[in-house]
Amino acid sequence: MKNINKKIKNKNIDAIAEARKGKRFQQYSKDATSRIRLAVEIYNTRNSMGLSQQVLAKQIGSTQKIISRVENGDMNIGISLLNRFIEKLNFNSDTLARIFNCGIPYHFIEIKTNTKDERSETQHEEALIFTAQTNK
Amino acid sequence: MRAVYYMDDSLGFCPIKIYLAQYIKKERDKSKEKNYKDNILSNIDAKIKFVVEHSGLPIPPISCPLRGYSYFEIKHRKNKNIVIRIFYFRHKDKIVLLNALEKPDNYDKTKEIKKIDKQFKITEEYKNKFILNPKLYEEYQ
Repeated sequence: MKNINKKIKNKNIDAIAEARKGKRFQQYSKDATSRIRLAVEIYNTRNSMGLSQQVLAKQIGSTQKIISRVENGDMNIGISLLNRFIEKLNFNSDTLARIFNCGIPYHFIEIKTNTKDERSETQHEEALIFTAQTNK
Repeated sequence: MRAVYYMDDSLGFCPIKIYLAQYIKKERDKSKEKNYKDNILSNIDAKIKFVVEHSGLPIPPISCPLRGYSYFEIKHRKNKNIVIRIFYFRHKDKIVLLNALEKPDNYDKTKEIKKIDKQFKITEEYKNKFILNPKLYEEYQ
């Protein structure tokens, strides 16, 4: 009877909302978001270059299965593999900034011309403003 | 656009919530297991958020339409052999999370195929029920 009650109780629990209370969830979430952005960029670039997963795998010295897992955002990739992707798919600073949600020199110049009162949305942009001000 | 769970009135619960309930951390779980569960849920959450950001449109490879059915799926690899598939569809300003299932990579038994096909049909029924009664939902927090 206890087990049945537990099962009924669990029916209304939102597992994701519960997990959000955990310490590590935020970090995992950030990692997952970056993985998804990388996956979409790799998929789109590979398709625009007309490469199959198998051909790309050969070119970067990997396997089709790994490419598939990276493109699904299910795999944490190391620096070495990331570098090979960047090289073969000709990722530029814009693409990398999109994936890792970070500023690039273009943003730096744009922020520098803003007035002091204007606050940027992300912490990273705030850091760039701070650097710009200290460099004056 | 916002994501919502489909709530089945005859069953009295949300099918996705029931599926995800297996990843709720328990006190007796070891820390490795807790991290594993958090990791899976955060990945699913990130993919759902990605879909919401793109107005529920299928953005391959994260989400894609399901052949033969009028809804989309989000895939997440649980482990080497199993993929979690979450089905959703767009309805006005909502992305309705309908159902979820686990699909083994290599399934060739007719029993397995039938089981998955049955789930697809059930999901289609959920979708039709929601269209008839758009109040059948719970907020995705």
